[in-house]
Amino acid sequence: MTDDPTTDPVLGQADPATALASAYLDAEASDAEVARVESDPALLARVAELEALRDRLAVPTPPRDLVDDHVAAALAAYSTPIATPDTGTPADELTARRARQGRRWYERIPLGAVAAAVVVIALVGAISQIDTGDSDDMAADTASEALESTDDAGDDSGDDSGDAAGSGGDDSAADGDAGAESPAAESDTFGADEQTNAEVARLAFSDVDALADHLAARFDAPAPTTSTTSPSTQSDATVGQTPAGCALDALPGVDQREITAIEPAVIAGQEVTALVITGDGRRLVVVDDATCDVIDDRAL
Amino acid sequence: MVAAQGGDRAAMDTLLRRHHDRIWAVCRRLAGNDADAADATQEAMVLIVRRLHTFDGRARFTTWAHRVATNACLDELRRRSRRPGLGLPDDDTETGAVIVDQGPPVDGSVTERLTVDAALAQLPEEFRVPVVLRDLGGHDYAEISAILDLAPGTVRSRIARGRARLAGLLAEELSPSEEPDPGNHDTTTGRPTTRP
Repeated sequence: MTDDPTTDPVLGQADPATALASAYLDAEASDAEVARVESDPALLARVAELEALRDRLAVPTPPRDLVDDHVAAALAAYSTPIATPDTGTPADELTARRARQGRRWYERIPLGAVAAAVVVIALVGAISQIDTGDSDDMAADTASEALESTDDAGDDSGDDSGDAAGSGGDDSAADGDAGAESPAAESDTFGADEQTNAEVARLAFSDVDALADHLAARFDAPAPTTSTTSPSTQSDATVGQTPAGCALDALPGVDQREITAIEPAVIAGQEVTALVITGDGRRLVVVDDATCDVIDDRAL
Repeated sequence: MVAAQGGDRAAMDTLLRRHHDRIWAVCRRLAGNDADAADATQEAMVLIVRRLHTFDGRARFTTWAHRVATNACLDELRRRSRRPGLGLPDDDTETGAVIVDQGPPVDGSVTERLTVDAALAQLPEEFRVPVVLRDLGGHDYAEISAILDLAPGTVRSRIARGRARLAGLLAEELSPSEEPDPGNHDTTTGRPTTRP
């Protein structure tokens, strides 16, 4: 719908007299416009017509019991902001569903953090069984692999022995500082496994419209949705940033406290992160994982 | 409001009751019927409570709350429009599910509301919402501009064009003083729809 003040595909051209009378009625007319209206009986008549129209739009005051019901439902959400339907929210199922929908993504962290920790521990355990060498070498090798996969380096031959040889120089230094390096290497390992996990969990879409439709359908579903594609939202390492490492507070128009879900995805081969924001309405913000630029921001 | 943000339940109760009727009026005209308006109003009230901690005082609370309420109302109506077959009644007088009039229903007043709802339903949302916010919500153009993220000039234009169109539509309908023509009580044409 065009904002052209002179034409509109549905409502046609603006009516100058009505526009003037409308602004005058709303006390939004300039001094010159006021003078013009008040000196023209036809315009004053138009003002009276619009005022009569306004009167016809009025609705009766709602009954008090309806007000009481609405306030009670809202206060129930006030009392139990993270309540589940079984723990004291109003009996009304529809209200309970809305209460669940209103929970923010970080309110779901504890359960997800457990799940993510289990997955990561399992992956670390699997990696530890692949390399039978020294544990420090193993940690250094894994850290090297993580760096290579992140940088898309061409030397990653996928051969663990090759990687070990390639990082031999680092190993000699690592041996001397094994105690200091191991924790850092383990954290790199944790980050690498987590990113790998997030990459595997990405859903692919042809375009943003398809992604938006998918998310809208999920959030419209009556049952609580459990995302299988956002393990990274549950990690303490990603609080404040997307799984790809984009700072949430640096994204224009995004209030972290209003983020309901963070969904890694792929759109036409491009890795992105979809943020579902429930604030003044529901919005979808799509962030390019490579550049951290917001590539789409729309109502959901 | 500060007390409500601090957890004072009584203050929150007072705050909600103070703003309820205006939010109801806006939702009622956006929804076109009492049942949808009731659900949308409740949704709006719950969201205001849940989002109260995000209110930072840079705008008037009324502006902020009505922004939340307006978007909640529109979101609720869009959700309902994507779920066909819910069987929500359009004729409030038949089901009595939500009684709006505090007194006994008057045929003329009910017919009048149905007529206005029908006319509003024909207005595109981009024009219906600003008109409703102005005439039912009582907001000035600057507030509507903030609520809808529109330029003030656009708000002024859309309200004027919306009113012009509404006046034309209502001029084609029954006037309240006329006897109802049985042919015009065809509910398939006279009832408001739940779709914005």
